[in-house]
Order: sequence, then structure tokens, then C-alpha cells
Amino acid sequence: MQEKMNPFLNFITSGKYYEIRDESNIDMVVRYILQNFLILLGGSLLFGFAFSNYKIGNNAEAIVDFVMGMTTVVAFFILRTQASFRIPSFMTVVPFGVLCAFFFYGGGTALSGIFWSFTFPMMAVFLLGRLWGIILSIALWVFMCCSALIPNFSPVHFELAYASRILSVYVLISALTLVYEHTKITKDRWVEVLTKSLKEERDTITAMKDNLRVGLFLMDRDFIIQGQYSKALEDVLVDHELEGKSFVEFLSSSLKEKEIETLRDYFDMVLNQSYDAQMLEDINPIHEFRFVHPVTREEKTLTTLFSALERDNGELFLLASISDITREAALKEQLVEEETKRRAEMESMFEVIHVEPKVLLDFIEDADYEFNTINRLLKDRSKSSQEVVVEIYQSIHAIKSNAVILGLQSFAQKLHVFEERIKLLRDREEDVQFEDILQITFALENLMKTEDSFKEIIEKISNFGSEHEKVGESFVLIELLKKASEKTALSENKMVRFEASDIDPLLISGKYRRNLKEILLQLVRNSVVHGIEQPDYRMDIGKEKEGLIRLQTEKRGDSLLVLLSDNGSGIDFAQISKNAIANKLIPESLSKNKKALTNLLFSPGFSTASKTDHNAGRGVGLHLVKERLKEIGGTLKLKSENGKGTLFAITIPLS
Amino acid sequence: MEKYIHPFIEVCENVFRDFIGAELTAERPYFIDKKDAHEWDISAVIGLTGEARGAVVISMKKALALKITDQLTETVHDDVDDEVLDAIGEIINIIAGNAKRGLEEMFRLVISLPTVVRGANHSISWPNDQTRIICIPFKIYNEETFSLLLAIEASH
Repeated sequence: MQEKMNPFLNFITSGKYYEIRDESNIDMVVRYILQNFLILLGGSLLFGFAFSNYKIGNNAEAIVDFVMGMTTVVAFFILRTQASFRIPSFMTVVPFGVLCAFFFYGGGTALSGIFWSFTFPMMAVFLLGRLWGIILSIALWVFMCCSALIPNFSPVHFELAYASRILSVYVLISALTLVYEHTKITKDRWVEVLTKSLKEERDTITAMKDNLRVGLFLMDRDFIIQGQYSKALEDVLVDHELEGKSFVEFLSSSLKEKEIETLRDYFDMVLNQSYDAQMLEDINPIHEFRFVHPVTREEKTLTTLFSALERDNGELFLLASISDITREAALKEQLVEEETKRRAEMESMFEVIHVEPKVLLDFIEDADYEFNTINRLLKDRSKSSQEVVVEIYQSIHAIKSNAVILGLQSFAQKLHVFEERIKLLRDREEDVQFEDILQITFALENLMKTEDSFKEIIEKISNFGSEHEKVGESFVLIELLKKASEKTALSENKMVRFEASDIDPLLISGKYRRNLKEILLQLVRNSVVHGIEQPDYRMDIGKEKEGLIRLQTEKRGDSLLVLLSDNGSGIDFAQISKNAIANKLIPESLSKNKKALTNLLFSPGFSTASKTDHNAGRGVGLHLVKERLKEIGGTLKLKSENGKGTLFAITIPLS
Repeated sequence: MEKYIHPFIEVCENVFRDFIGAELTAERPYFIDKKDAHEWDISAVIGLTGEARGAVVISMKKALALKITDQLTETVHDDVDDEVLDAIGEIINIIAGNAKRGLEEMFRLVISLPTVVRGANHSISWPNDQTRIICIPFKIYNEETFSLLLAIEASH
């Protein structure tokens, strides 16, 4: 915006007042004023003399006066240009010198003309600098010496004492002017050096402040952000014009009210200045926090650091640094996640290599069978998704049971999670949608991938060579049932021994193999969970501490008889009856009917266990036995004696 | 793999609705074995690479391919000719193009040009060894079906 000029200021400073606004140059402006003043005074005097000389017919002198007056007028105009200050200075100082010489020469009223000369050294030195100023001053002095000391040189007679005093005062004024000017110039230089180094320092700090990735700012006692904050602060807080905003309010959507309260207390502690810096850093409530922008809701992870800053006048500020560590935080999280995943993989691998390869292969084969069954179900258009879900549940449960027995805990856990999902779908009121099944498919793929990794391990192990003991099929089955009983007993805090007499090879080969294995596993687990009593209780009632489960097979004509017995408590029909009535599964009239209750035991969804875990309580067990038995045309008889034990007798036709 | 598959299903439904005017019903998905020869007559294949690798295939019977082409070109075709191949190739191209737009925003992916395969009981050589192929059957025109086959896996 163009400033309105003051014509007087403009005139007296040759317009420089508006060109040189820097305070450090005010000195130069003063010299312009002096120069113009000199022109005004000297110029008008010269023109006055020219006029009076012309009037008395002294034409030669009038011309000299006029020329010199004109010179100052020219100087006045040159001063207004960009030309060097020295040129117009000469044009005014020299005529002024001549004027002074003239006054001295003429003496004037009561020798008052000589006083003008005393101003000359100052004018000359201020306007022309030390060298030219002193040369011209000396020149005037020499002229003054001639006028005052050489008789008849000037029309005025100077007494010697008077003349010597005038000349000495002139020398003194010149010397003082010189000293003054020199002091001033030295000081100017010193100031310039100081200014330069200060400016450099300021530039460095500004550059640092602007290029720093850290948001740096000051807050006053009311947590108001001060003006001189670093540029990065706007990036970090994704906002601008932060000056005057309250930092605490800015965090209102990132922190709870209580946390803000804590933060205020913390800031007070920092301002207190009596606490250890390290301690303050440790207890910083927002050392690392999730920042949510109050308006845009943009989220970031930020880290902060606060310290107190006391100005010379005693004002206290909080110096805060704040930086964006969203990326670092995300990476850290990812690292932790990967570490967890890796550890889980390691664990699962350990579990796998602890299983006898032959047994593991058997497990994989069964799992493959179940997965294929599931896929067949998925493909089967004749079945509704609701039905498919129920059957998937059974298949997964079968794999899970085996995984638990073999101690493949991580895989069992995955299957358990999957099972829970399926269960939610199964028990849901609404129909199963495409999206549900799609999610299930993805989860299934994940499970199959885990199984793939088992296959890889098995492959690697078998590549080691065949040092592994060749174990027979019957060994695998007995080993499996034994493991199942031990595992279940362990988690039920019971003690169980599993015994098997020689097993008919028919049991473990042929088309019944898988079904029989599943049936036996379920029954063994059932015996441990529901049949065998706690060791202490067994001791109390005079039984052996360790429960016994026995497996026998017998060939009877064209059928195979499989007997599984335990010496536990027998089936608790009273409990079943109670549960059945509570769940309205049976009318009260049938509550004492053992046959009805037994049937109920084998129906889907029935369970006497109150909580669900890997072993029991999902209401799958005995229903699965019934289903699998039906598939191979077998029958099951149950004999239970209260306090003595249970016997399951399975008959399978060998056709 | 699900994050890559979802866009394809969505886009597939949209493309059939917008270009052919047919509503699709997605049926129960299942896995297919790569050794399986499948019962389709014509398949259009595109490959994916980049952050995820794999292939996406649309397979259908000849009758459906002809019907779709008739709808698209507003002419009548009796047998699988070049126009039919182009039409089916174009459909997967549009699907891939649309899916790509969605996917490329989230993942760095490159999608190849479509290849169309025909012949009774043809089989497709799938690129990934480990990845299982998910088959999503779509019901179209109430009675016919075609399959969207996907085998996609994040590359490491």
C-alpha cells in the first residue's frame, strides 16, 4: 500500500525517508536532512550575496556567488536521484567552504563573520567523510591562517592573540569532529557485525524450525499455543492457524475428560520445575497416544515431550515437542502380530512333530476325508444350506476330537473357533445366506492350509529315512484310544487306564474302519467324562483309584461284536431325567422310562454337561455315534449298572 | 484371499445386471480340485499378479454362452463362433476391469488381458500350486448356471 507522503519530510530528506525505511539507516537520512538544510541556508545566502553584489555593481563577485548558489540548487536535485551521496555533498560543501572563507576574509560586523567557519569541519566531515572532510577543513584553515596572520592579506586586522585563539578553536572542533565520526563509524561496524551474526543465527533457527519433522511450540499457563511454532506442527496436528488455540481443547476428542484432567495436572507439575526431567518424561500421560482430530476425525499416533521454559521476565511457558509416529506404531503392531503368528506356527509344529508319524498320517487321512465330505456337502444342491451347516458341524467336530487326542492344541483351537461360528449359524433363527457360507468357505480354506502344513512336515520327517518303527494299523487305533482316554482324563482331573485285548483285524481294516474309530473315540471319551469318578471319590467307595476302560472284539457268526466297558458310576438316569425335563425334551410321564431316556442320550443336541469345552457339552457325542453306526448298519446295546459301570456292545454285520 | 475375492463377486453381479440385464443369484461356494476336468464348454481366464497372484475364470455351458451373446449383440447364434468367444471374453474383461478399479485402490495388482478357452471338458492349468480354487456358482435366467472360479493368494 502506498503510504501518503508528508511533503515537508519528503523535501527535507530528498525523498529518502520513504526509500530507506530500515532503522539502521536513519543515520543516512539525518545526513540528507543536514545536506538539504545546508543547501537551503547556504543557497539562499549565496543568492542574497549575488543580488547585493550585483546592486552595488560588483559584477564579478555577483557572478561567482550566483554560480555557487546554482551549484547548490543542482546539488539539491542530484540529491533526489540515486546518485552517490558524495557528488552533491561536494557541490554543497565546497560552496559552503568558499562562503565561510569569504565571511572570514570580510570579517563582518564585530568580526562575527568568522563564526561560520567553526561549523565547516563538522559539515565537511559529516557529509564527505573523514578524509575529504579533513582535507577541505585544512584548506579552509590554511586560508584562515593566511587571512589572520599575514598582514594586509585581508582587509581586516586580526590581533595575534585573537587570531591564534580562533585558529586553535577551529583545530579543536576539527579534531573533536574527527573523533566523533571515527567513534561512530567503529560502532556502526561493530553493530553491523553483531547484526550479521544475529541474523545468521536467526536464519539457522528458522530453517531448523521450518524443516524439523517435529512439531515444536510454546504454551502459556492456560495451555494456549503461542505464535512461534514450527511448521511441522500444522502437519502433525492436521490443522492450521494454531496460534491462540488451546492445546488441551484440541485434544478433547482424543482423550477422555478424566485423562484431560490428568494432563492438566501433569502440565502443572512440569511448570512447577521442581521435578526431575526423566521422571516427568516417564509419567507423561500422553507420551504416546491416539490423536483424533476434533473436526475431521482423522486418526494418528503421536508422541509428545514437555518441559518448562522461563523467560527473563519470569514468564513461564511449556515447551512442547510433538511428532507423528503413526507409521512406526503400525509397523510395530505388525511386527508383534507377525511374531505372534510365527510363535503360533512354531508351537503347532512342535505339537505336530510330537505325534507318531503313522498316527499323524492316519489323522491327516481322516481330516482329508472330512474336508472332502464337507466339500461334497457344499456342492450338493439338493441340500439346504441350513442342513449343510449342521453336517459341517459334525465333520469339524470329528476332526477336532482327533486333534485334541493327538495333542494338536493349536489346530484344535482353530477348529474350535470355526465350530463356534458354525454353531452360531446353526442355532440362528434366520436362514443361512450366501455371504455366511462364503465366510465359512474362506475359514475352511484357512483350516485346510494348516492341514497342508502338517502334510509338509510329515513329508519332511519321512524324508529323514525309515528309522521310525513300523507300526501296525491296530497299534494306531489302540494308541489313539489310549491317548484319547489319557487326554480326557487329564483335563477332567481323573485317572484312567485303557486296556485292549487282541483286536480283530476286521475292526481296523475295511470299510468300517473310519466309522468304528469315530464311534470308539466318542464312547471312550464319554466313559471318561461321564462314567469314571474322581480318584478321591473312587477311593472313598472302595474302588481302585484308577478307572479302567476295556476294549474287546469277538467274531460271532457273520457279525463282529465290539465291547467297550468301564468300571465307572454307570449312567446317571436321574440327572438325565432332570436335564430333559428342565429343557422340555421329554414329557414328565416318561421321566422314569429308561428306554426313552437312553434314546434321548443319543439324540442331537442333548448334553448333561453344563459347560462346553473340547471334551464334552456340545451335544454331538452320542448322536454322532448313532449316526456313524447307522451308516454301517450296526446296532448298539447299552448296559449300565449304577455304581459298577457301563458296557457298550456294538454289533456290526459282516456282509 | 477373501479381500481379493469379494470385489469380483460384487462386480460380477453388477456387470451382468448392467450389461446383460440378468439378475444373478450366488449359490453355495465350494472348492474344486485343479485336476478336475470340468463340465463346461467355454471359459474365460484372466491372471492377476502383484501383491496377490492367481487367476479368475468364468466358465459356462455352450447354450448359456450363446444366450448371453445373443443378448449382448442382439443377434442369434447357433454355434460357438468368434463373436461368441469375443463376447464372453469381453464380459470377463469388463468384470476384471471393474474389479481392478476397486482392487487397485487398495492393493498393487496387475490384471492380464482375458484368454478364452473352449471345448468340451477342457481343463485349466492353474498357476498356483498351493492355493485352493473356490468355485462360486451363479444362477442366471432362473435355470442355468455358470461358475466364477477364483484362486488368489497374497504373494510374499
